Amino acid sequence: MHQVITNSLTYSYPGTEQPALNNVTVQIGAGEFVALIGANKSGKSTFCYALAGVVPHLYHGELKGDVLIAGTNNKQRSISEIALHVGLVLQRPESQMSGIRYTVFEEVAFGLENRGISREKMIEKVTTVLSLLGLESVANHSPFELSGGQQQRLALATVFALDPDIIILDEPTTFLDPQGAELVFESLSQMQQQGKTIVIAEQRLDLIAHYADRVLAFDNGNLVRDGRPQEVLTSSTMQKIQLDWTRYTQVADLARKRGLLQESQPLPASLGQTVKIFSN
Amino acid sequence: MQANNDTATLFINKDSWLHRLHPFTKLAYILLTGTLVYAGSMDWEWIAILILFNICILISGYLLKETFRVVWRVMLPLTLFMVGIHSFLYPGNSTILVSFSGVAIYQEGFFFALTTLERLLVVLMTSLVFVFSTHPADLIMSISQTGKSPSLAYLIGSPLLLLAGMRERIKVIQAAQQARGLHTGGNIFKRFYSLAPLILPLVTGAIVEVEQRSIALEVRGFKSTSVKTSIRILPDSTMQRLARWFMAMIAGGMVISKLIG
Repeated sequence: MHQVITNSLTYSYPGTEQPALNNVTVQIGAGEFVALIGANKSGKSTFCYALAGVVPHLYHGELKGDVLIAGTNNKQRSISEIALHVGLVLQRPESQMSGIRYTVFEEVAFGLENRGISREKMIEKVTTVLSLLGLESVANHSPFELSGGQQQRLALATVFALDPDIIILDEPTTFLDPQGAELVFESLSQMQQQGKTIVIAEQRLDLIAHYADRVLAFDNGNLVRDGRPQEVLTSSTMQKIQLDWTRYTQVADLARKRGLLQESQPLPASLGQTVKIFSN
Repeated sequence: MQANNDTATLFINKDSWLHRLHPFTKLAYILLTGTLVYAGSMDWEWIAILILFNICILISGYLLKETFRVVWRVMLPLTLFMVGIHSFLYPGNSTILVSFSGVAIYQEGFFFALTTLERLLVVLMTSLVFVFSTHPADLIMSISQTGKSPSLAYLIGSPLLLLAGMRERIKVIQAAQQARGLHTGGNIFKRFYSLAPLILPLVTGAIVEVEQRSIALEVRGFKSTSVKTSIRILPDSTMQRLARWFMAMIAGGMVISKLIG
């Protein structure tokens, strides 16, 4: 059974005529790690918002088609009910702090408090999540004292603590350094191993190539390609959606042109794939 | 669970009975003292006793030094101004208290100024007891725990907690604009003209942030109608609850008696 289904999803923001999403139909299975790629305003963020119920519950606009999470249409549930299944992490880490909790520990517990979880269970859950994301040492600090990378990990912690089946992330590594971004993907990979479904809009293609199972490419609100990372990230679709190949693909393509790599060899998109191809 | 002091709030993190007191108990004390000094028609000697009582509270709460730092900055100019004006110009002046080279300071005006300053001092000290010993997060939580709308609690408390982020953003915007040649120093007119390029990005950034924060709060069940729990335990007791009611009743009684005559 598919955990996420969008049927002919079309959405326009209030006051706009051009749809931000245009007839998008996708099925995502439980435990999949799906990356959304595309240029700015291609529809990635709107797709994330639609899955999390932000569209249409917070952004009204014009919505056609359906989003089904675990078999239930998002239109039939409130955003709090959708949040029981779907966690959402946004781009700007400091904007995701509640602003009403004293410490990092309490910030992570905030969502659990709203769900009426017992104090003992909260402490256990928050401790586990902080440990997973390497935030134990700052548990008693104010969320606003943390660095950008730590704040983004805290934003992840607040979502992980709620234990949703599906975790949606809208460009969570934009303000992070390469190590911080790698850590985020590593944490997501661990969540995937625990059976969570990950849907991430992301610009760091080398990380997508390494961690994702599947890539959805968006252009002007249309889903233009759906496939395995290596297949999508090394295709001509990338040029069509105004994205560059990863440096690994570019190097391999150059090597192929100079006869150093056979035409039959598929182009790599990640470091691992590059090493594998050149080792043969 | 105690956070390090974040300088954006006035809260001073100390381990004292005053810090452990429930926020509503401290608010009730502000209400009581404010009513006593303004509706209670207390003489200056009684107000002085109240000031001494506040000093005792501040000493035991390890907050005297910080309070004194604020109090003298606020009260000194006020004292100079009010004593100066009322000692010479108070309409009821008739008894000379001191006279220097033909310039007389009158007793009525002097004591009027003194009593007014004492009242202000009591209210200022009591308010500082509250803000120095109560973290805004505790205030928000105590409001939430009464079952009031979470939005109301957020509206009251969040501005205090969000100041830190706002201040950091101002620094970044200022640095970015200075790097592009904007002069933020100079006389008052130059400073005024440099405000617009600083304020506009701050406001637009704040709007984006509000939008993102409201999404982040919504997806974490902020407006959920289910029964909520709390990880932070705000110490409260029957004694404190009784004290709150007692203080509120005295304050209410004094206001009513003042109104009816």
